[in-house]
Amino acid sequence: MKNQCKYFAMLLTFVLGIGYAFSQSAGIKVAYRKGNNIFTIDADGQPKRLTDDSLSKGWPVWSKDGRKIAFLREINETVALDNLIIVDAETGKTLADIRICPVTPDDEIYDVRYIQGIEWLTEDKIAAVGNVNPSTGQTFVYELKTGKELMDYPDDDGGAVFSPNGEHAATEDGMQHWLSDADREPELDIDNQRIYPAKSLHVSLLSVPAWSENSQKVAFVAEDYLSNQIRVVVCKHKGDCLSTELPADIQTSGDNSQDARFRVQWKEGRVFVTYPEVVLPQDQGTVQESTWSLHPGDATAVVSATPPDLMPNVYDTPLTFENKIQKLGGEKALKLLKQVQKLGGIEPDLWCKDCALAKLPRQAPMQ
Amino acid sequence: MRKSLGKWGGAIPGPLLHAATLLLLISPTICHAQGQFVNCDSVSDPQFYYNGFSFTGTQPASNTWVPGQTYAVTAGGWGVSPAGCLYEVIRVYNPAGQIDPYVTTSPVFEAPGQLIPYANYVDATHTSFTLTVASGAPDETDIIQLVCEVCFLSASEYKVQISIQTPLPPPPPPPPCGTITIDSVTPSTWTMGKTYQVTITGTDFVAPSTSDDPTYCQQNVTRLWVEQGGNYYSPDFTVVSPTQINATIKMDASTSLTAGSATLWAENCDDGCVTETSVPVQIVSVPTITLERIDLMDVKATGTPNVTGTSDTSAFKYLSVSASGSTVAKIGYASGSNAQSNPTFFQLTEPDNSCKGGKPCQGGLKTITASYTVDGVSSADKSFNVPTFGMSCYNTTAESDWGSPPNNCSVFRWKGTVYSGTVTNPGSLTGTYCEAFIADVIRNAGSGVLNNGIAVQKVNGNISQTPDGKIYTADGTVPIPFQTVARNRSIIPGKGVLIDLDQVGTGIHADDIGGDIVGYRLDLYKGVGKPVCAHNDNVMAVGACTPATSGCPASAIQ
Repeated sequence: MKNQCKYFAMLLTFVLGIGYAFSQSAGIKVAYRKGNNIFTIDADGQPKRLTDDSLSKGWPVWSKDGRKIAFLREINETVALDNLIIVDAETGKTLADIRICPVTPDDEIYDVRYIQGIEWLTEDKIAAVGNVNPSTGQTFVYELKTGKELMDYPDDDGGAVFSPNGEHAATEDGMQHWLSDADREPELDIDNQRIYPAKSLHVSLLSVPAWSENSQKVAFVAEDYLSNQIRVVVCKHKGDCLSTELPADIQTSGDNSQDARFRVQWKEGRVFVTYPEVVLPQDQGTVQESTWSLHPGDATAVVSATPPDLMPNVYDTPLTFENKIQKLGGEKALKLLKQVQKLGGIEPDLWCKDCALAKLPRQAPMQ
Repeated sequence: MRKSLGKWGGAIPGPLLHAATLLLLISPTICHAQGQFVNCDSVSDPQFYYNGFSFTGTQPASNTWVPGQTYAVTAGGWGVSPAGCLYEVIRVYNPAGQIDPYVTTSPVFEAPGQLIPYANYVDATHTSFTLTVASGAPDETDIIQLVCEVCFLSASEYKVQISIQTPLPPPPPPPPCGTITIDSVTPSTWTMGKTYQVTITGTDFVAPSTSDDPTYCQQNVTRLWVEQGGNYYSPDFTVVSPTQINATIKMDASTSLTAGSATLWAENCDDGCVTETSVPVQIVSVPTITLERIDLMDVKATGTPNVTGTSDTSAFKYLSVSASGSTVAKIGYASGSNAQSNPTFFQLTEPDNSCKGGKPCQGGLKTITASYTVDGVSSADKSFNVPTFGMSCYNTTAESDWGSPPNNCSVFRWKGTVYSGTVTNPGSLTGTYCEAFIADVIRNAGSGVLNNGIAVQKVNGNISQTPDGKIYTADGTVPIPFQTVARNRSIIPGKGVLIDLDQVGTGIHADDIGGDIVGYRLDLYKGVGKPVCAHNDNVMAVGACTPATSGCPASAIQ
């Protein structure tokens, strides 16, 4: 009898668990901010208020499993620089209350001016991206359960880039803002360890690093300081970098007056490199993009079609943002987005389990 | 061969012939022909022939005789061979075969009991008489018979058909010329490129209408045309009533008219009776719009033609869409201006900083398109772009930011390593410093400023005074507090670009960059030490660049 009860309890737990998991993952849902509070709209289409106070909040973002929502909440500057809150998406219950760059008795000073983004790494870890000066950011990784800061990742090119599994960070260092050109020593770090270039080499880093889909490799573009040869470099966690030359006739600005940067993407094990990194919407049609692709270790890259880049960015107009959301999440996602707009909501973050939206980094703002 | 008298000859009664013979004896002058007496004995078997019978003289050529008229008639085309007629008797029969009582001929001679009409000899082929149709004679077709009498022996007759017809009354005289006037033309201002349904009111408009060549005047019509310096345009129109014309005025390329004053003419033509009138009309060119950015936030729009104060309608329109980003400037009519005022003034306003707690926020680029419409015809669109930048503040790290050695130094943590306490004679410096400051210069900032104002920087991995005591921006300039910004080179490429920023300042040097400054963001350098950026108001600022870039256009609207 005791065993029967035990089996029944196990079965009930299993069924309820499956049911709960299904209810959590089915369909598409959105979190957004309206005024000072955070709301969600689930499959039932009804807005649900998650917070109800006058503290300023921003950038709600779903966790990877769609069960939690993180957002920033204002906090008195005598207490901390910012406040990262994680709530249960169903109940609104606070799961974590993390003080970012707290004011401490030991007079620790953070060089960070403000927090410019948050990103879910795993179900248990979340990152807050701080900004030090125009060049340098410092990203802090926190453990949800304890609220403890696990590591900080300084970066001189827009913030750490985390691997899809959230376990590794790629950063660029050696390009401090007020450093003279001669004293710059750009380097690519993984998990705060220099992996490229070798100490004897001096390069310029011309792209934000991009992780492979399996989180095993990171690719970026580097230019030799002396020869100006531009290479696509692919490194593993501990180094072991392979480089592939790009055509020597790529025209980048020699006097450093232009933004000679590349965009790097992975697609099915291939690296795609596009120049220039950004074509402003108003320049489309007049500025030509060029793309090359390669397998890590190829001697030279080959000219390729540019893979679509559906990752929302700061240049998106409301219309292009809607188009991307529609392509990533389908008509339901677009419908949700428009519903949020109609309600006066901003900073929408859409989540789905199986649509292409799920493959994007779970970060806010979406850029 | 003797020609039989036939029916007509038989109609001549025997006593008449005898009386005629008697008359011939007593009045040889009556005898025919050629004034000679005819020797009847020698006239045997006379031959008569007829070569046609026609009238000449005053009688109508159509042989149509009018009651109340007397005609002098010469009949010709007949003859007698060999000796001619003794005399010719003339009789006019009505359709009933009776002598028409309404028609008389002369001369006549009186025979016993009767008057015999006869014709005067003219020559061998002509004879003459007068013929009177009495007033009141009925319209009918009669027969004139001429009978040639020769020595009582035989006669020949000839006949011709005539019509007696009362003429139709003359047509009434034409009505007197009307006095055509135009009282109103609505609308009277026409824009090139547009078609108008124009209502013209006035007097004495005549239907049917025509739009024929205005150089040709048809009868009994009203004509309408537009004249301008020798060029003419004839519109289609309909005379609705004597007081209204509806015209279709097509001011398209097919007309030879141009913008300026013109004259609308209306004319009545009536067989030489011409009256005309005209009124001035105005032809205006396709509207144009000129936009002038008076300053960063104000735009003056001028439309031509300016029809303010006329009955014609004009209006400005504008449309604004985001060209990049979503937080962009707003536009509306300035106070005192509206769509109908000309010139009108638009005012730009910055969007609110919607980011949590006023943190630095992304801006964007807005495309504003304006047009000017007159009476339904719009100018070509005129567009300009307005960038809005999300502002933030940065500074040079100062030694004082990190406390004071030896006992009040702050703690600095970088890549998990804690820097605290003091350090003595770091790099090429001498003295004691907070280690947090030295670490910040080396690890995070690259440069810093000592309490004595000397600039230091990272050199070969350690700290040293800068060679010239200065620090530099990415473009190689010395940063000036409140006059230098770090920008994204995608938005503002090149060197030496100056930017005006509403609420911030003008002529600011966009000389610095940074990987954290992405999109429509600007970081304003405010000097040395953290306090300069404390409680910075991270406004959203409309800007304009000199020289212009595609991401940051100039203030002037091209």
